Amino acid sequence: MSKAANSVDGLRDDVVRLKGREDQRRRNRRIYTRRQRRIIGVVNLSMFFLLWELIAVYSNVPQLFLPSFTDVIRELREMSAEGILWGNLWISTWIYIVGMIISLAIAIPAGLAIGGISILDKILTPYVWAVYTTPRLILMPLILLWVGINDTARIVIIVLSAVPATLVVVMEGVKTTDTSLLKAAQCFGAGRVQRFRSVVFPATVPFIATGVRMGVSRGLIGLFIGELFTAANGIGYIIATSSKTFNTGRTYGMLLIFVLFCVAMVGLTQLLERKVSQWRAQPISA
Amino acid sequence: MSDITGPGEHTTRIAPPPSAMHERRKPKRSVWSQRLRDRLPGLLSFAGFIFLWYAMIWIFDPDPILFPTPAAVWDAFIEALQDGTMVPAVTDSMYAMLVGLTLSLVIGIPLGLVIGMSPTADLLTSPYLWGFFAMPRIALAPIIILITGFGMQTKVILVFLSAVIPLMLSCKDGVHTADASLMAAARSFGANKLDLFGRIIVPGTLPFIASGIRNGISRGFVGLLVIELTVGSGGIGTEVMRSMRQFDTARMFAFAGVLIVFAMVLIGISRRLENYASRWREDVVV
Repeated sequence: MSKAANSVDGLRDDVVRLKGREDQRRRNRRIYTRRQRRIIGVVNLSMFFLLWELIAVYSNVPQLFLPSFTDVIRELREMSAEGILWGNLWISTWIYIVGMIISLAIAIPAGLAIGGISILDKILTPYVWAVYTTPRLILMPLILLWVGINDTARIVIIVLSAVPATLVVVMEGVKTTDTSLLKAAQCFGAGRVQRFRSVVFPATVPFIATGVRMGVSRGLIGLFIGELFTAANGIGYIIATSSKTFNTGRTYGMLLIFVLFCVAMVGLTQLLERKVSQWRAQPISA
Repeated sequence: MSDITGPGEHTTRIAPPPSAMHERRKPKRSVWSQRLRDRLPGLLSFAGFIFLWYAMIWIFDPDPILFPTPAAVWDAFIEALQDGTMVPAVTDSMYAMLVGLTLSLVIGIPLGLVIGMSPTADLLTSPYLWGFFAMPRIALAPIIILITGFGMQTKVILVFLSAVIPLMLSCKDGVHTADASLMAAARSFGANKLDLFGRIIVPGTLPFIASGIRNGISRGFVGLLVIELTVGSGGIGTEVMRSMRQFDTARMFAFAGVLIVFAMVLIGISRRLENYASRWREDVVV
């Protein structure tokens, strides 16, 4: 527990709070049944789209700013027929997944190492926090200068956005390992490696899952920015160019797809997070 | 479990620990030396960073266009100060940032609290909040640029949008974690809904609001920079992009450095706020 970390962050509490509030939230939300929630959700969303359609058609908002929902759907169909939709979606997904795999492969081991080895912690923690706090987006032009305008730059941007978010959570997760467990393990003669493998690591798994979720959502920002600056394809590129050519139907359509893409990514990781932290929630609250 | 949150953590930040022994030994300088000692790892790592920078230049000997020396960056900074490009850029960016943040506080906090209080509102808004949260808000930038143009307005709107969603979600979560037993106790002593809100929920939510503000600041910077970097509407990001186009890397580093300093200061302030808001919570959070 280095002083440096303590003086910079309020974030350790954040991480712990994050774990606590998931359980609490589930406890507090028992007013509607699952079925009711689902029905209301569907009605709610369809009302939204209906309202959108009505406002777009019957109000004075120019169509350039707000195309009607049916227009957007038509545009999506057209894009799908032209092959623009699936090709670009595929490219974005591919780049995103490669970027995320690289990020996680860097962030998780590095987080475990920095959190677990006290010398590394002392030396590197200030840097980690500094990098975490800075808006890394300002480095964007620098990346273009160093890497060039290509797919590698896109991946670099995703990695830069995602790594610090994941690393910080994993690092703090390691530090929250229950010291009494560690002491017990030590008393029973567990070595450094063994302690790490059978005490620290299992205790950190839920934090890793949280970190992955944070990284995934930051990585999406990186993906979009990368496509805005460097790409000649991908979802972000279509969104940017279609708005420049005043084809807003296409912009909205692609935005819808992008929202679905993001919700799918974040939802998947949240599912993972819930699965992984289940075993941990029980012994603590009991 | 109380050692997770580390009870001493916040107090060291707000005031030096009143240890009697310590004060007797150094009656006068204790506050300042304590402060200096708290900052020492940060200062050391900054010195280390500069040293590493020089070392890298000495080892790799890169083209100054790709990687300038710290001295060159400092010169560029002074030059930008003198030729009058630095000050307007900084004030421009900070103005957009502060106005957007203030707006998001004024709108986001009450909305978040209300949504958290009412399960129905929660259910109705959650798909939209969720979609907005998962999707990087900067994806909306092309549409907003289309509607409001390239000016200050666009920047403010994007900062607002980027900051308001994390803030709302944070407030909402805070309300959800309000202690159920406290609520029950208050209710049995005859508190009405307004009392519950003012006496239990708002104080309980303060730390969440504060951490939401911190998140909002860091997200807000992303929104601000995307606009400044892409459309060149003035501000630090635009200057960075302009320097890059002229291959004046030292100037680019100087502007990026200034932005990073400002971000750190803002986030530092919000951390203080957070510590202040959650100082009473230490022993309440399990």
